[in-house]
Amino acid sequence: MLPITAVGSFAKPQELTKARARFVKGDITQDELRKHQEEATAMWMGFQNEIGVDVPVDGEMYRTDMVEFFAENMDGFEIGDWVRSYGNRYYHKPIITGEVRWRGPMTVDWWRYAQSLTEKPVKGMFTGGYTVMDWTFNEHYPDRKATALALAHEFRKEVEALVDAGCKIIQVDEPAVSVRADEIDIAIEAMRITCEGIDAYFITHALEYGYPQAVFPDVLDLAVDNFDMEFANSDFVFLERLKDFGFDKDLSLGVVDAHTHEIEPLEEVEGRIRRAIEILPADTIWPDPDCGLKTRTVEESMAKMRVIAEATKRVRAELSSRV
Amino acid sequence: MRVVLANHSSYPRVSSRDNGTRLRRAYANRETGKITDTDYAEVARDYTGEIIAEQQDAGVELVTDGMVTWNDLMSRPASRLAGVEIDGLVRFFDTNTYVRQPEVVGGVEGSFGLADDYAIATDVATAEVKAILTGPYTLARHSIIKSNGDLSSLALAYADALRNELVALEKAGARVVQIDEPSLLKFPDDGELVRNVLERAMESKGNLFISLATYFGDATMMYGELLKMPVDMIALDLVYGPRLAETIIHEGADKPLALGLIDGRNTKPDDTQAVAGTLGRIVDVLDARGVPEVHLQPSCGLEFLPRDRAKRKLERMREIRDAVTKT
Repeated sequence: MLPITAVGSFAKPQELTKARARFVKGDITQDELRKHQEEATAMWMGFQNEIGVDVPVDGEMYRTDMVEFFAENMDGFEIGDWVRSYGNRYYHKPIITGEVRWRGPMTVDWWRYAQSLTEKPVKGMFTGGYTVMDWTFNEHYPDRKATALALAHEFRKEVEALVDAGCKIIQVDEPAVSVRADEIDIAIEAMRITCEGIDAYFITHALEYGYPQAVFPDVLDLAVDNFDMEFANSDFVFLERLKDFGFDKDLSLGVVDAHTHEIEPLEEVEGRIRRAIEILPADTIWPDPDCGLKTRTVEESMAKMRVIAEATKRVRAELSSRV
Repeated sequence: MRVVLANHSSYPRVSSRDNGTRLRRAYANRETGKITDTDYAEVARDYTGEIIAEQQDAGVELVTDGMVTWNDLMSRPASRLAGVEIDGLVRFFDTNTYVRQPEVVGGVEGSFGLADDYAIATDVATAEVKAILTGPYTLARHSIIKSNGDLSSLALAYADALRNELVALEKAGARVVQIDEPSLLKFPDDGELVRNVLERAMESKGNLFISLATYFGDATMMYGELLKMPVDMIALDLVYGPRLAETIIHEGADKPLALGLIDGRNTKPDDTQAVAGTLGRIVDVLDARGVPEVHLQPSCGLEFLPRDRAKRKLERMREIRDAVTKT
């Protein structure tokens, strides 16, 4: 009950950040960088084992960001210069300049490595076709739909590779789907192309920092089992509306804000989980942070995860004592 | 008729070229206390000068300061107001960018405090500088209202702040001011509220030339209503609304338009001949109606593009105007 999970990314340790900078300058080799990435992944896997995360993640120590990494590893992309995301955060926004093509597994080795470090089922994770389309510039395809569907076909190959490797829980990150209600059909079709008919439990991290009401209830047609949603940042205002929309999926429940330095008090997080189980069945709820924690420090990431784990355990104990 | 080459509003604040990340570094160093506010302001001033020179070099005749010191379109103006605190992130329309939401906890008072930035920009520019302001309605739409009041009363309170800001900008030497109201296209039924809000703000218009900018939506259905807004110019996103150009050609206009024909959201170079063809037809229609000028500008702020591509977009505007002039 109440399986604890994380969204995907954790803060990169300073040694890895420095190693990456040295790699970019040509001072260390790809193999040397890989060693740092593995050490950081092992550190995060050990931490998640220690605090009792039920569905751990690899922490994305090997990724630059959630689109750039895939653009670097597929054909048809060029990596553009910096653009701003918010505040003082920037990313290299890719440009689609040719036909997109899956060259081979991009996340499977990392999933395999992370899985080798735990008995728990590690999430496979990648960014979905609609979001990659929306977060890249397009100089090749005639329109947005053609771009998203072409990507969705290629990402299905990544899903198949993850499942072949033994992965049972796969998260398709689609944070862009809540933004354009007029394109929800494209997002649904893209998800169907990528996931439908494949034997795995699918999660989508699809609804954050936007206006989810604009895409409900249509968004429930996304071919997944679990919706990962941000609630802490938006004061849980949307939680009570889920029932009105006939929400019938499992819910990964964002209970700590991923973009503040403050660590939420234990009682507050506990209260948030309790509030959710008053609205939805407890066996459908997976407590986690609002979003990936890569923008926090290592210490902040750990403290936020610890408070989720501790609060969840307290609520679980309370529920068990009621039975 | 005069076709003025204008920048829309924002401009990239970082690039990979030499020293292109100095503003970003200074921002981070200020946050961690490694440099002072004064040190940061010096870097911001220097960077503003550089990007204004870049716009001028690209042929732009009405430049902006690139809004490079704004955190975002909401929190920058709202953070200077009494009665407002800055809250969590919310996605900014269908962009992969985020704004921090103003949280209204008391009576809204004051001004946006942008006139100093304007003065810095004019110091370093040889071309005319357009001032950019967030519209009261869009600001209200992105706010969390915790005190008494509703969307309408908050938008009117923000309009009072805008009125104060217009006075300060005119004092600082501004002539052209663009007020951004992208939320109007998302909630077109609020046209009357926007009109009321603008009427309140325009009480302090003085001799300013005010442009009302809508973008991130298709203005085709609202075109007639927009023309009746109490401002001197309407700025339109013709990329998001591909049918809008034909509507303008069919219905005309009696006031100047800022034509956002250059795609500010995609790196793909705009087709010079195609855009020039559209621009030429609109110019003919408005010229016949006695409209003295139009502005050719990007469809939205250019901060959504890498800096090298943003400059190329501006350079393309000059080629397009030349193509219109030659035909």
